[in-house]
Amino acid sequence: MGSKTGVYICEGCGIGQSLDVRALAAAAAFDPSAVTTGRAFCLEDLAAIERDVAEHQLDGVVIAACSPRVNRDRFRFEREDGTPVHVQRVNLREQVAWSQPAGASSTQQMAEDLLKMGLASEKAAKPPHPFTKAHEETVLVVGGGPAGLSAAVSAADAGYAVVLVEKEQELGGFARFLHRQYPTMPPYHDLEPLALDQWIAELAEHPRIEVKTQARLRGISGQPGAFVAEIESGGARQEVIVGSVVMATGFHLAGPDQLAAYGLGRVADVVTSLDFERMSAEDRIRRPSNQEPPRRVAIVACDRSADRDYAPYAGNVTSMVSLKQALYVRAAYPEAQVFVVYEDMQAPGHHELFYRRLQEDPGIFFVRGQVESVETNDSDTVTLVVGGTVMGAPMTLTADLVVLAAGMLPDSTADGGEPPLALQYLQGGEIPTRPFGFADSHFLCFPYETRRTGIYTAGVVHRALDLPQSRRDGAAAAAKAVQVVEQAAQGAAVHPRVGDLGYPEFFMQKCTACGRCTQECPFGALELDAAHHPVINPNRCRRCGICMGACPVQIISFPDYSVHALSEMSKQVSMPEDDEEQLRILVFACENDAYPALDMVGFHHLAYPATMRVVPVRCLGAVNSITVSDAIANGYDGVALLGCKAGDDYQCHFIQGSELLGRRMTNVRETLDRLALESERVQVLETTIADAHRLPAVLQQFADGIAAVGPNPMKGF
Amino acid sequence: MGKELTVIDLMPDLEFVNQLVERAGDSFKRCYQCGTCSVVCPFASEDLQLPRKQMLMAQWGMKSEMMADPILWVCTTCGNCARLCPREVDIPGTITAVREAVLVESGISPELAKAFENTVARGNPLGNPARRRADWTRQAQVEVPVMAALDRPIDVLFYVECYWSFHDRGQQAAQAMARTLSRLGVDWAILGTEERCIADSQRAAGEAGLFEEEAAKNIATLGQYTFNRLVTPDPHAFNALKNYYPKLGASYPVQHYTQFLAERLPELRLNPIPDRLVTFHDPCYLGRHNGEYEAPRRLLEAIPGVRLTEMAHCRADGFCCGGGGGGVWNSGFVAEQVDERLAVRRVREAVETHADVLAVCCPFEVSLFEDAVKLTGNEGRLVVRDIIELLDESLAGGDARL
Ligand SMILES: Cc1cc2nc3c(=O)[nH]c(=O)nc-3n(C[C@H](O)[C@H](O)[C@H](O)COP(=O)(O)OP(=O)(O)OC[C@H]3O[C@@H](n4cnc5c(N)ncnc54)[C@H](O)[C@@H]3O)c2cc1C
Ligand code: SF4
Ligand code: SF4
Ligand code: SF4
Ligand code: SF4
Repeated sequence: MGSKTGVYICEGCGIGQSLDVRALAAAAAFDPSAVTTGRAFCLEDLAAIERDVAEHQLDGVVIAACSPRVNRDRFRFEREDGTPVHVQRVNLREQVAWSQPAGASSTQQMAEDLLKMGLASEKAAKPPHPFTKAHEETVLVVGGGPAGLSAAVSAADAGYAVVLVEKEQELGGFARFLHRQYPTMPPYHDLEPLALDQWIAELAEHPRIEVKTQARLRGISGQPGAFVAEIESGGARQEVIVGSVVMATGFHLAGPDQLAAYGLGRVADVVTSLDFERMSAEDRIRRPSNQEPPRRVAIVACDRSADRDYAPYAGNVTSMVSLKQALYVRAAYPEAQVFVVYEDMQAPGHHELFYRRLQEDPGIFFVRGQVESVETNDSDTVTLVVGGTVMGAPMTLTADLVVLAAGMLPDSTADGGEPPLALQYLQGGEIPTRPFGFADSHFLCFPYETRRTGIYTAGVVHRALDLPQSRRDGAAAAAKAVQVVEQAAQGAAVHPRVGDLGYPEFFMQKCTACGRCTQECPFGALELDAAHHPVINPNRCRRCGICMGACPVQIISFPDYSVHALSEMSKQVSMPEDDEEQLRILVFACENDAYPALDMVGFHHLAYPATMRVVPVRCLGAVNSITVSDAIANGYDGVALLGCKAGDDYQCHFIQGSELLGRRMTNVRETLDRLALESERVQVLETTIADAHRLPAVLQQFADGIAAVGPNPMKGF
Repeated sequence: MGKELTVIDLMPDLEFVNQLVERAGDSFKRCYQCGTCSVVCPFASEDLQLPRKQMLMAQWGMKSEMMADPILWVCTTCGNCARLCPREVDIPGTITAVREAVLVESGISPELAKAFENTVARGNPLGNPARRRADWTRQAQVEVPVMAALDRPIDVLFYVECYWSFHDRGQQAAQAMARTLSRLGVDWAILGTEERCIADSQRAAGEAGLFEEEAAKNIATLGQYTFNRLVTPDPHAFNALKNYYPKLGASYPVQHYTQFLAERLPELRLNPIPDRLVTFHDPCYLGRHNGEYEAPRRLLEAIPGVRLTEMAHCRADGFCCGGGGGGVWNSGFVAEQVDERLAVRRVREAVETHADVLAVCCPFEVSLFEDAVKLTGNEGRLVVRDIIELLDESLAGGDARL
């Protein structure tokens, strides 16, 4: 950064015992008197940094101490005029003092290299110019079912204006068809009335909520804080500017397409759980074939985990719906028998009490097994063959009415028609979905987030949920939607690089209009202009750096993070040229999984090879292949790219970073082959935080592999 | 294929279900087929889903299938399954109720039928003449008072039960007990030839009627006398007297002999016996069913020379000997249904501890385990002793009179 930089080396937390801090200060290329050492910069010595910032109006500080993952709030400084001071951390604690032998020359060397890398990174950093032109705070909610209603009220309660768009004439979604709610309150024994009227009344009381029914989205463009939504209702189209979007478009029930094997559409007395809700609500539970009251009813939970092709996820909802509907039968016909056929009964939490209550009912029988066939029989009833029970042999079950507790299929995509949100994005009109069509990006790390920044999902479109869960989901998604408009107004990133003000800049003169950045951006942040050059929507950007890794001519960079900066950092490392034993391995570690895992290695006082130098990167996808080949050209004997799990069950915070890198590496290996270098020198390694204890062995194995191929012949050239 | 493809029709016999609920309560209705029980049941195997399958058949009211299923009679009612059932299903109680409900119609193995007949005809399942019930006292070396002859209130009425009365090894234990009571100076007596079987295992095997008839006779006999407490060596009798007789209107203070003696440990003048490593087998009906794990161990640990070691399965997790629930009379039939006798497995566990002595305190166990020691070729390596025998040895060591 600017000319005025302060350097602070901490001696606390065992760093002083492990390293010769004075020698370290001397080794930093400039005047050692400019380096301040202290016993604990996070505690009493913090004042020294604050004083320097105030006295010398520092532009940046380099703090060589603990991991950048800790003490973040503490090491945050502002100059008198309010400009933030750029903070560059050097990890001497977890990744050196705690994971390398104390006092060893290799440890000292590693610390020196890391400090120099930090200084180089600091030198390359420029102040950010945040994008602050998007201020709209209105939240758009699409879908007026239980989840959408809850999202709308929650956002309005928080003080934000809401526009609610519902395609039907009435609000309420699926809740409109339900006869009763299964118990949600102690003693979890009795069915409850639906609370839909109350939910709708809450909405009506809110002056800040504008409801549009029989309405559809015809387009959404723009970015968080400034989305342009085109809404069609009653034949007219209207443009509305909104700050963020909650998608709560719910689900439809599986039908004969999915359930023919269970007899639906084929056997007259087979109905769906939706049909059965209606029959019960109308107090007319009858056999469709002859309008007689049923005496033996089979309720089949058809969301078997074994049935991979069809909603194997619905779990607790279909289980609970089956239980509830068994009671409908018993209430209507006390003499009737009900058989609940299931494979996995999921009655979580207090629902267990309801399940027990049903088990005790003398007219309800539970059959755990798999329905193998459903056919009409001679006596005009239905015969189900159930296999896989503990009885060993297949069993037959005759019923005069069969109710299929069918799975819920999310309404997340166009499904033949127009995509629900009609996104006007270069990358398409739909929200990218996860397996089974749920609009989600990573339910563990970022629930509610989609792969379109500022658009959150709630309810069954996001996950198989019941009413209370959908309501909570709606409220949570609203909290996210509110947060993003606040961040957008300041030009700050949302999860996971919360608050990051910089965003990618393009040195457009050299752009070849290849379009790769726009394709690889996981969040659809980049559009193309008429000349096919990328245009960024800064508030859609999550600052992953994948575009930077993708660009074949390396013209994409962040103010404080760039191909150039990475290259400068890697050049700082001393190359022990005359020593065959002393190899150097560069490790690019993704800051979301791999870097924390390495910190854990230190935290547990395990060790990783002393030949390694770790450079944190935002995502493995942010590593440009040129950065890797440069490292080899600069004499590193090996390069490890340490990141998270790729594939369908990815763990990447940026969705596909590790996968993209995997693909790019083929190019790198080809380059290595061309240079007659062993392609084993560059490898992608997967890890997770939970795997930290295994990491030392993985890294050692890589280092051994490099030792086996020997030093890089390019060294010294 | 291997597996027979008989199709079972699901037609619940509601009357049968109600019958079971009346007898055993409705806990079996709550079984949710987790299979925990079938993992810990000593008979469990992949093919033999005891008792999970039986709970399911009970729920479904499958009376005829249950009648045809020999596995129903394999369970020893040891209670290990119920201990771990997350739904707190009274599994042994339910199995017993099913046995009761189908006993008459389904027919049982001749061995078991014989034990029932003997109980009715002779007051003991072994079939010995009732008049010889007190013959063991002749070799007791001490005088054994008999209630009818005493004709006065006494402190302890010792209920000898059938195996200590008639079985060779049981008689030796009974004699050791008589000596011990006498050494302690206890005011005690037995019923002698008036005593009849308590028939708790017959009850668990499904003969509730027999149990109740026997109980009526026993209650009448006991009613003639005045005593402070009953003491018995048989955990099954102890179980019935403690838990079932009160339901029939007869409550007595009752103790297992190990409990009675453990309370008197300070008065027992124990002398060193040759050093022995001893392991102890918890009887299901003393431990799991009635919660007593300490008294036998306290007695063993008090004997100088005894070092106690535990088997892999002990206390609440103890492994059944195979004798409960009628198993002791049904071993031929059970052996046809399962791979290995439980006593054999238990003896293997005991051998693994390198113990010299397998100590027991249930009358069924001595003979079951001694057979198993022979079967497994461990003769000379492991001996089976009732705790009372070890105590007697230790007491005798310092007692010149005997
Ligand atoms: C048979 C059955 C019985 C059930 N019983 C119970 C129960 O007893 N208790 C319980 O807790 N849960 C029950 N559930 C689950 C419950 O129905 C769902 O959890 C709940 O409806 C989910 O709410 P949602 O808002 O996510 O979706 P939905 O209820 O599907 O609402 C989605 C809304 O979005 C609208 N919409 C869709 N696409 C668009 C679009 N493109 N533009 C504008 N609007 C759109 C729809 O018209 C609808 O109004 C049951 C489910 C089934 C199938
Ligand atoms: S940094 Fe990531 S989110 Fe931002 S434009 Fe680049 S690829 Fe897209
Ligand atoms: S990847 Fe680079 S060259 Fe290609 S379009 Fe994007 S900025 Fe231009
Ligand atoms: S442990 Fe209990 S709930 Fe589980 S299968 Fe056995 S009886 Fe049923
Ligand atoms: S009581 Fe014992 S033998 Fe009977 S089923 Fe349970 S564990 Fe098995």
